Amino acid sequence: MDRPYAVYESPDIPSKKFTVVPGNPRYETTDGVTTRPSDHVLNAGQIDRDKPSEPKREADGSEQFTKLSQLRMNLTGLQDDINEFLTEQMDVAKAKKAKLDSLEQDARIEEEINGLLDGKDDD
Amino acid sequence: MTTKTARPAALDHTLTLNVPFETPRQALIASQVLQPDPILKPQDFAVSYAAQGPCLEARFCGRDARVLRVGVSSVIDSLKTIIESLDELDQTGPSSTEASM
Amino acid sequence: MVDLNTVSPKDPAKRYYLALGLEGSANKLGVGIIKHPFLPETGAAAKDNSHDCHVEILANIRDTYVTPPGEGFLPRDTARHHRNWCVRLIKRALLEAGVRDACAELDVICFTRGPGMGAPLHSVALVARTCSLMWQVPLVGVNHCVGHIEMGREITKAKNPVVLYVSGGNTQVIAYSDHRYRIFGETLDVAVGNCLDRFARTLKIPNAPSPGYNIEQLASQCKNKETLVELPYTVKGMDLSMSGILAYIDSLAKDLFRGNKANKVLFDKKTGNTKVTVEDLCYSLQENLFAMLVEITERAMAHVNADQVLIVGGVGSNARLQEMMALMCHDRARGRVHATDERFCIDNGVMIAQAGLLQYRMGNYVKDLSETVVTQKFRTDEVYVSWRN
Repeated sequence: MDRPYAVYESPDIPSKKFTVVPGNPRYETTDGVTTRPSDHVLNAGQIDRDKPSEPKREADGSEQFTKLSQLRMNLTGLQDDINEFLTEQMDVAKAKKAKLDSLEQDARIEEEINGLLDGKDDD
Repeated sequence: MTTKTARPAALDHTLTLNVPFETPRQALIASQVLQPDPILKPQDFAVSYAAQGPCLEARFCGRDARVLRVGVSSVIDSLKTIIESLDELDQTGPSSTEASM
Repeated sequence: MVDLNTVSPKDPAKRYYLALGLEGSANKLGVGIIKHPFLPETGAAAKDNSHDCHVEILANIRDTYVTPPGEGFLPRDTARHHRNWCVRLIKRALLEAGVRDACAELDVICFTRGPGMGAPLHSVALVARTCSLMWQVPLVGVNHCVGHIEMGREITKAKNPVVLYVSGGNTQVIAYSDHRYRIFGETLDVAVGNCLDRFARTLKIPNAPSPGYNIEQLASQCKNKETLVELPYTVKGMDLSMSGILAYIDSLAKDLFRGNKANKVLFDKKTGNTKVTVEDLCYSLQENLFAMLVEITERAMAHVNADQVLIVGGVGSNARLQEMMALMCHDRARGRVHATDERFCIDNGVMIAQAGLLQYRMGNYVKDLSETVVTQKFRTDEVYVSWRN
């Protein structure tokens, strides 16, 4: 089984590729750093008891993880890479815009992202 | 996906995600599971899925990095859940290659 | 005439139906597995037997997303909880029910399509779709409220009751007529469970295990039951409003904590001594809200000429609410109140399996996955109830 990858393109960045780095612990966990509980509950002292399940090992007694568990872990690391990169890109875009707009935008964008994450409807 | 307001060439931030499964059947299931859900803001974001052999390709287009950040991460969350289901609950096993439904 | 045997059991030799139910519309994730025996008398010759399916519960597992005391739950964190626990809970339920080969044994997979919070609903629907495709088992999308009603009817054997549905997200008085569960009255703003939960947050007490549970515990310790704290009583025709009551009692609690002696409701004018305790506030709030619920339920009973009430939803396990409702029912021509315990009152997967299996047995299941898109707003009366006369 190959490893997952992703390619990003935009007017500012011709092509940016995201790949799994074999052996890097970032791609060998099911618990991603960008998919933790919200700051809202963490700041209120929440202990995370809802982490993703552990990866599954092959039934043959070898210590190997199943192919699908490896894929899930690879995707977890890739998701962190993509999320961190796109957040940076947002900051770049924001910095550009800040010269034109007021800083009020920041709060609105943050709120909108949270709204989208919460599955808010438009109405 | 239908767009209400025509805003040509606005969705110029793209991300293509390639996910290799063990079997074509798994890739097909993943695409069928992801397909039905409507996009919240079609004028700002679009996504399409294609299963080719054992690979699932998801292609995202957005107005800017911000909508991509939300849309891509949420689809990867869904993918991780689908993969866990296949990993833990599939009794057919990876040897089966027949496509379903 | 209703034929509940429109669809044969998967394995006709086994003579029963097996259903998996998945619930995740709010902060509870529930997985249930139930069995309906194939009863020949529910065939073409039979009358309406949808309240008496001889259900057998093989598994009923629940995990609640818990937030720190005083904090509400955000959809995204709740969705994360459901996403990360759903597969583990299904595995446990299958094991508990002794289902070794889901593909060969399950007749149908039922999941909550709405109403509720979009993101948590979606997390569970994804797993339902995946299981359906990999096991080749049909899907049924269930209305959460109809799930409560059908589970309540099956457990209590109440054939045609007026239903009071009281939970963290809903407050409705419902009566069945002509293949619909029709809403006679409902809240115009917040749900009763939400009202109690938000007051609990003001008091910094936890909301687990069910809406209003800890308020009920405090209320039962009230030593001053004769002198109620006066609160607004806001029944409007068949509907009711609770946001004003909540705002007012919140302000009382804050004044009490702050020791605001200017508040004459709480402190004696002359001595400045406290007249009202937190327990008194909890008791008065319950009495006031429940009296309103009893009033609109009684009015619905008069409308449809019913003598039975079924209370469902998380607040339905409140003993004081059941007691007040029973008094009213008794005064009205020796009527009866039916309620279930917290295994079924609080959101669970079994109730979704029960309503979904009834629908499946009538031949009504998902033909295309586009029908499985979840919906935050899904009114009780939108569902065509084919399984009743």
